[in-house]
Amino acid sequence: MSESPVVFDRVTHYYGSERALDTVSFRVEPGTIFALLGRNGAGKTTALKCLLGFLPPTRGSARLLGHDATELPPDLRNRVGYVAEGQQLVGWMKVRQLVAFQKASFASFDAELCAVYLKQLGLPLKRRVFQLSRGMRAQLALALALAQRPELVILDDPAMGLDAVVRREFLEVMIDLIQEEGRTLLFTSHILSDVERVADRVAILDRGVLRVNAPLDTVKERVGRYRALFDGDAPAAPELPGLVRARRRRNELVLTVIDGGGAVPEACTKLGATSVEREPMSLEDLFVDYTSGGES
Amino acid sequence: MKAVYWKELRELAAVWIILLVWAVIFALDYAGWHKDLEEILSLATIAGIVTGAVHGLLDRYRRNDLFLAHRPLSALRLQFARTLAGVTAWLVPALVFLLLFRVAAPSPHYVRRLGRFVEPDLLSGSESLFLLGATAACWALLRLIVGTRRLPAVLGLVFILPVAMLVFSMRTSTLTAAFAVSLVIALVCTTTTVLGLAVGRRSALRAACLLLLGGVVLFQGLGLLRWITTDLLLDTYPRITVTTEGDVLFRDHGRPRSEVSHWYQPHASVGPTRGFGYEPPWEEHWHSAWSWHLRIVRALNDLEEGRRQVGLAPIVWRYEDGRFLCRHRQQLEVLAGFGRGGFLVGPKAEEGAPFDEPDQFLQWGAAVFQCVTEQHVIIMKPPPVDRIPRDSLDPVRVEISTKSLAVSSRNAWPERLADARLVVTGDQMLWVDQTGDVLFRIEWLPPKEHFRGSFSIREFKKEETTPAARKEAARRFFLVRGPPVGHAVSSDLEPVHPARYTVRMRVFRPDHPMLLKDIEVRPERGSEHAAAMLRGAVTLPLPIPVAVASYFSAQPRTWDDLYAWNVSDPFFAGGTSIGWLLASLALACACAWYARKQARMRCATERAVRLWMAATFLLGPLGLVWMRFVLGRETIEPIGGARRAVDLDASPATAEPWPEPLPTGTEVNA
Repeated sequence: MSESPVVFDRVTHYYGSERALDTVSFRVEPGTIFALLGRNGAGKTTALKCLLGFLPPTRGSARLLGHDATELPPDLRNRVGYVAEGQQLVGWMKVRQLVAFQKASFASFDAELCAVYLKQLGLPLKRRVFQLSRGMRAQLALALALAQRPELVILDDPAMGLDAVVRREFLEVMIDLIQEEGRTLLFTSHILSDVERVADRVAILDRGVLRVNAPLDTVKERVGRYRALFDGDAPAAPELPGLVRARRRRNELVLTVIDGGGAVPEACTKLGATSVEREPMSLEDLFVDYTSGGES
Repeated sequence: MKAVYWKELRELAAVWIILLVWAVIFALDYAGWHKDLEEILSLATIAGIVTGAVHGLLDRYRRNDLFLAHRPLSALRLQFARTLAGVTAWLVPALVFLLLFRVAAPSPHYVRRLGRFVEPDLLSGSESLFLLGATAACWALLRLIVGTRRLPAVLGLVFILPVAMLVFSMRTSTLTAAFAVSLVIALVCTTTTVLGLAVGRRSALRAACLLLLGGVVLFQGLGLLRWITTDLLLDTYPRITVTTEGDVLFRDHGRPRSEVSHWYQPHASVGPTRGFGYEPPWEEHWHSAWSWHLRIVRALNDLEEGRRQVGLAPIVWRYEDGRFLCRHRQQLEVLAGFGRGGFLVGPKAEEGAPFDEPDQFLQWGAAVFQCVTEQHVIIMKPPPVDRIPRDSLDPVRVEISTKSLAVSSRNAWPERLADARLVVTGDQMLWVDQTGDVLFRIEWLPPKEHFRGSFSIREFKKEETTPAARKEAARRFFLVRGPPVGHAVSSDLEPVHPARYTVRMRVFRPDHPMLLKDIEVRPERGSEHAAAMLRGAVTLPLPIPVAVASYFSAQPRTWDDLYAWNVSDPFFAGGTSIGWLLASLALACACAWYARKQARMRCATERAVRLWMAATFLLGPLGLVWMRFVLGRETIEPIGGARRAVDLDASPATAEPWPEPLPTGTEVNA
């Protein structure tokens, strides 16, 4: 079995007294699309920065393609395609200048492949980067990252700020390009519907703590939302193992529970529920319940 | 790296333009307004510091440019490429400046003007390179420290800026000092970069920074502190000591002799009770910084007023092989001065060998020139750095013809000198005219007495200071001044002390015997005592072993001691009382406590924590600087512009195992 390209081992990172990551451990297997989710400030970008060696973990270690992230050999970056949050590029350069700049920097950069990507994406070579739309910039950043022919692609919220159409287009391109050569993809995103469409495995960071790390299907299977109806006002949520979130609305009680199976209907029935049904949950619902938490 | 270099160069276009404009202004300013090199140097240095700081801030901003950071280049090579681009961006305007500088300033004028300030090894046309090196070094250092680290940046700005100002505004050995500082700075930048590149590890860079930059910061910082506590602090109580002896009122309005490098300043004025010359504080400052220039301005002012101006032309001589050799002549009609190993007198001289004596001798000349207007006695003593060997002087007489001197026909007095002979004996030097009359006499001061200044006594209608604009005040100063009625010479008596000293005044007036008066100067008011006491504050941040050594080291007893004590060895400038030693100990303890707190957050073992405590106790604040270099800064990364305090109890980096977050039962792991 080949080594995991990304390994987080009890990574903790502090900004001053602010704990951004708390003992985060996970690994990304080769060839998978791994989505790292979390609210703003949950630690997603910090985790990627730790992984890429831009921030040293306060404790623990992160390994990238078998190397400790704090001591990454410069050449290793040839094997990692990275799109930073906000698609940071050099604004004053023309697209072709930027391609040349990347080619001069990365030994593995394939200019011909890049040209193919750019043509495929319809990006104008003679325009300056700052003149491109946000969607075009995102596509350009992705094309540049992929033209390196990287083993691992790391995208930090690549669809941020894109409208639904552009985002979908971008995602399709991204999936096509990445899956062409069986690359590993680690990305963060706020757009859960997109994640649901592409990710093999998801991890959810909640205020620096990793709460979920499982295949998407497993998560959907194990986390259930139950709607219990009562004759009168709904009572307080029962004590349940694995209760993620409970909401009361007049005569209904909505519970999000892990591995609720038979325990939730039984508990609700005891409280006098007239009916208990399990509802289908999207990843977005799940994410919202996870990250907002508690009883409301 | 090449790609990054060109990209950076392109992005520095704005900096190029600013620097280019700056360079043109500097060059034209120099040529058009005849600014002193010193001023240009100060401005250029400040320019280097400011642009370096701005550039460094840009670097700090770009540090977050992850698009640039994520490429197969080490962080150091990336920084190196940036720095190289910055150097290029700096060099182009600098070369434009030099070109304009050369074109705009004709060679003779150029050399003559520079000759007043620059030492001989810099006279061969390398001033420009020196200028370039100084500014580029300031730029590079500031960019490096501002762009990489916060604390050193602050330290750099706090220490280097005023020190640079001090260095470039003072005279005498300042250029040498500036050159040394620039050299060290350049060495620091180069070495740290090269070391970092060679080893490719941040720890190596930190170690290099520690060894080099830390050393510079320490030296400069202590030097600055010494300056603050000895010079600046004592300047807070400018005192005027007034005493009377017969019909003469003595008034010493100098500051304490806190800094030996100011020894050439004329601190006192003296005059008959009916009037006296008063030099306002700003003029004293001018004497310290631009006295030579000031004298020239005065001469021009007087000429504009249609007055007869006594020519001033300092010539520095050196006594070699039984002869006095001319070492330097100024074209200006300025008189006076003493030189190391020789003395001066003189009218205008057209050409001369390059001046190779330190500037202070010119200032000596400037200080005494008013004395040599009549048959007066000048009492002087060569500076201690290189005394004239008395044994080498012929005890009987050495006669030197002065006929070879070019004498200005406009001045009657120097014409007489042209036919005079110089007679040197073991005790004095005499100018004797053809008839054997003594024109004037130069005597040595007695032992333990040191020349301080010499002043004309002039009548004033009333006691008046003129706190007006500088040039205006200078004009008024001369306009209200009467003709000289005599002159006075002041000297210091040993033992010297920065805050308590004795000034001996000798007053010479026609038809009066020499009047000798000792003026005791000491702190009197509470604030003065406090200021005098605070000069030991330099001990405070010293490393404990040094502070202890300073406490036990001998106090300066002689002028030479003071010179060596203050200038040659600033590390031992404190230690005047046990109180400061105890305060230093307390500060070291506080540093150790703070180091413990920080180390517990950033070190993995208790042993390391203890070592840091010991190191910071021994090194004091310097230990904290060292710690800052060596330990990572990430845990105290500033967020939102403010550094956050780390709660020790919640620290993740203590030696204890860090517990995993408590499970909530809602985890999904598969």
